[in-house]
Amino acid sequence: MITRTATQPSAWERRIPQLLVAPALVIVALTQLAPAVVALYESFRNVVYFQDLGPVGVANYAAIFSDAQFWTSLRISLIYTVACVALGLTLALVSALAIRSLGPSGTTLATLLLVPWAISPIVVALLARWILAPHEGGLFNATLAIFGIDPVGLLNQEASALPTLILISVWRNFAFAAIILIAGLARIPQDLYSAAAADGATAWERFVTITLPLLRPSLIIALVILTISYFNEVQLIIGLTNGGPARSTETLAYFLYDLGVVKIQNGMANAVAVVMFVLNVALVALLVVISNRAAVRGVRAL
Amino acid sequence: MNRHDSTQRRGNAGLSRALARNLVLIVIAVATAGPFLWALSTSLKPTRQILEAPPSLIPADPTIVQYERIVRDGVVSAFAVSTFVTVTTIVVTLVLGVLAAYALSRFEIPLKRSILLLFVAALSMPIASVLVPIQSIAGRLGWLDSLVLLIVVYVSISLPYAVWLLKTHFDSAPRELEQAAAIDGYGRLATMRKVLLPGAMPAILVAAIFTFLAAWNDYIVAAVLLRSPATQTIQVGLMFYLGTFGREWGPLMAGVVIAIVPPLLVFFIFRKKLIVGVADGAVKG
Repeated sequence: MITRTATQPSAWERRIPQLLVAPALVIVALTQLAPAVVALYESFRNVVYFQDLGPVGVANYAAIFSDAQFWTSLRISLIYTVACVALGLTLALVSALAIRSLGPSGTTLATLLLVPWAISPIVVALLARWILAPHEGGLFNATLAIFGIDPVGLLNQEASALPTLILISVWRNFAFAAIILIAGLARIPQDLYSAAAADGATAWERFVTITLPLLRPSLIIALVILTISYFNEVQLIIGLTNGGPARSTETLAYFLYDLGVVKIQNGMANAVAVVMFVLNVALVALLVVISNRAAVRGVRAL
Repeated sequence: MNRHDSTQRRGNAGLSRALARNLVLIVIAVATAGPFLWALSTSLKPTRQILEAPPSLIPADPTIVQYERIVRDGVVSAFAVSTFVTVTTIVVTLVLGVLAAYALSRFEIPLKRSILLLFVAALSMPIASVLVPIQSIAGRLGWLDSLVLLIVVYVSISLPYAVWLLKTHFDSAPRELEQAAAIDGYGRLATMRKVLLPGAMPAILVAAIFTFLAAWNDYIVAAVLLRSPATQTIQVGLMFYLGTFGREWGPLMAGVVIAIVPPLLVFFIFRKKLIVGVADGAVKG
């Protein structure tokens, strides 16, 4: 009797594993998969302020692609993403190398670097706005005043808003990439360096022939994560500029937010969401294909 | 090459390298801690000193008037809503995450590969793209302003990472202990509670920390799904204060200080776990 129950579990008992997965599966499917399906469906319908006014074919897509702001936003997204990733990754590499050379005390420093990432983007935006405030009390302009420079509103002028937004975004996120690179540096065997040094290789040669190639998997992971997160960044932009002045900081992610959440043009916004989704997938695919082998090695190394 | 020359050069290089290191250290410390200390300093000044030119770095006579002001403007309720939503999100995420990860690690389940693929895909799904259709659905069903929906969305943001992390842990955990427990007559639930969970605590803690940060620091999901002022989270509250206070940076910075205390505490208490989690490269930037 006892052996029978042990070898032949009841139908109910065989279901237990499925029941354990079900709640998590349902939640993730309902909030990540279903919205993607809804977005695709509504992108072909005229939906405004939650009212479905019937099918419109590809009119939403036609409206977006003929909207000059869409293309401007795409261009701003590209500038913003490329600049943030290039600056962020360079800064991450430099600080990872510096922190690595500090030895054990470097770990504490690396932790400190990560603080802005652990703070909400809204708080980061408010801090930056207060420090850069172009009126009395603003720390940045008070410092400029010492050198006799007139106050500037870095976030309020078209020419400087995007570069300022980029610098603040880099400040918030680069340490994230630095941590990944520090972990990657720790995996490089130290005897490679001593052997190269014995062969008379200079510090630069050691960096180019040992550090860079062996760090490639970590660099790729950091590159992919940073690219995706900057391409989709919207909270910092809401907090800092709301896309302004004169829509000069309106990335595609902000364009989507503005259309869907602020103007509640659900049909058109969902068409943009579908375009964003396709661009995200294309971006990841592109980055992975470019560096396929390195990425695979990187994932295995984890 | 002259030997004396070379040692001296090396000595100089060592000195300048030490200098450079210290410089890096100072720059990093000022650049990361500076803005937060400035917020603290501002929040402790009386209003007229805040807009003083040139600004004083340290408040001459610290006061809590800015905090009193922000308390009158409902920061306590926003803090309470954020705390409730965050704690509930963490508990639900961990319970569902542990159960799912355990089942996915230990049992054969139909469509297992597809289920795992869905979790991995959700791991890299940017919230900004799904939020518009989620709002669209919620608006049609009249579900806006529901804390339950907010918590469900937060759980779905953190759950894929929790499942991935915990499944990785269970996959590498030895099964002998569980088998021994089964032979000793432990039921499945008792085995889980007494054998599996204690060993999984470090992984559960890492999942909890990242869930905490994602929920507490979110602005956009809460701003989109909650419309009434009665159910504002602290991040939505801060943006609201920015709109109403305008140039009054005193109460705003008091709000900022209140909003960053919980994540800073979690950050510094669990910093080592956090670094390990980030270095794994599966958390969203």
